[in-house]
Amino acid sequence: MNRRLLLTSCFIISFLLINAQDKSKSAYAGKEAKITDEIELADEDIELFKEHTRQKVDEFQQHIVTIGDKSQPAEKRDMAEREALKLFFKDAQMETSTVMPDGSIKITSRPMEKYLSRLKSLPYTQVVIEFYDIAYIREFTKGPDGRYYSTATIFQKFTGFDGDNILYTDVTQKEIEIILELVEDKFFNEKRWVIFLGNIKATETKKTT
Amino acid sequence: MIFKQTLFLFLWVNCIFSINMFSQNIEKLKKLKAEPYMVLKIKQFDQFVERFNYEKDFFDRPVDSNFVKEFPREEYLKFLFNHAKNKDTSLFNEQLIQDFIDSICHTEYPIVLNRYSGDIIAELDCKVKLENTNKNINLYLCQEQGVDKSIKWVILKANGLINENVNKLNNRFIPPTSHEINFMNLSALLNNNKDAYSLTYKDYKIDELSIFIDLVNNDKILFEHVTNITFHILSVPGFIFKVRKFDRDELNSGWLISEIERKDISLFEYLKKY
Repeated sequence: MNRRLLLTSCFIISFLLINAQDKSKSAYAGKEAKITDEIELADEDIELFKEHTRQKVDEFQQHIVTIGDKSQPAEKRDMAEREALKLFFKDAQMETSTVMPDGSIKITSRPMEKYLSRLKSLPYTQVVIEFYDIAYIREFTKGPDGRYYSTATIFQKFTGFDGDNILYTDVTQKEIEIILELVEDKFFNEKRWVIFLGNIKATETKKTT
Repeated sequence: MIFKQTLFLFLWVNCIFSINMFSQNIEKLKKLKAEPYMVLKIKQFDQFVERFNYEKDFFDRPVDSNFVKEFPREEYLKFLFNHAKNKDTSLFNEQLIQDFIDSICHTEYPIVLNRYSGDIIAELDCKVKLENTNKNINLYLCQEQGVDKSIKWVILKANGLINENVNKLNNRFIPPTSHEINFMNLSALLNNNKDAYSLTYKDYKIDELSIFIDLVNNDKILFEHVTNITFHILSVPGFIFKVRKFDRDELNSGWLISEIERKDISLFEYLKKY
């Protein structure tokens, strides 16, 4: 009886806490609506999503660093790979542009799963991936499908070692497609704006072998 | 030279403050200090528009009174040009550039670019496979706004699919009395000859966009990727300018103005040229 009373009290308190959330909070904090309602993003909400985008991009960068780091345990790298993939929209691709010795540009496109998988198995004894502390994120624009689209630009430095010798290093600029989508949460009967990463275009800007 | 030195000093001083600002947002990931070219580089076309419109400074902060004193719009616009060492002298006609900037900074009617204007055309150099042969074609696109204020890119034109210099052959024609015999000679003229063009009316121009759509719909063309993008901008009255990407690790890099022409022309007339 006491246990039932305790469980019931916990449930009631949780219910009250959930519904006590300030409904005037920004969309980023979790704007709620009935499933049948249409939601338009206000300008101030879009600005807040820009900040959330930075955090998502940082999260992606953290996973990339872990995946590439051969000194990390395999389980940790595998988990980072799974977590990184969860950030992406379905069928996201990585397109890479590389300047060849003859000056021509080679463009290769791969599904994101393959790109991340290849990152784990590069032919170096050690791989160091670092990111620069600069990110440009453009304004969100509404698409005909009701989603909002943006792009984030970041810079990544890659270094591959053979023992203590640097075999390869380059700096690439990456453009990451950002998609803001209204996702249905059937359990709570509400819709939430969720940020996904989409296709990525990588351009080599500086190479030293 | 003094101008470049001032700019460099301005960038380094502000780099220190901006990096502190970025550092507050980084919880776990240690990041490298951005190199000056990464800050100044015009990384996206939208950033080009922001700088052209004098909306944001080099660090993507709104342009304020201090920045205006340091870099008035006329000076800031000069950073949007490609200043490559092997420059084309016709592009760097000083008078042309000055007149262009004066038009944009006109006191009463300053020009700003509308991002979703039909006056901005993207020319895409594309690599495709047509009948198992590699081919380079061009697609021309502009942005279209929907009633719900949504935006999408739409294709205006295609070219490169057919030989531009195709001429009509004089010995291929539909004889003048064909109507009396039920035009029975059409089957001989059209089948196994691959030249219906010679049979069209005098002023007919081949519509390559329709050809492209048909090839796509019938799986006869494989689209591989876009190799280059050039933006053609008709928003400054009396001028047309092109913007493309210069990927190099220099202060002057990214999306930059590559060409300017004096021209007053409608979009429709301009596309005819391509």
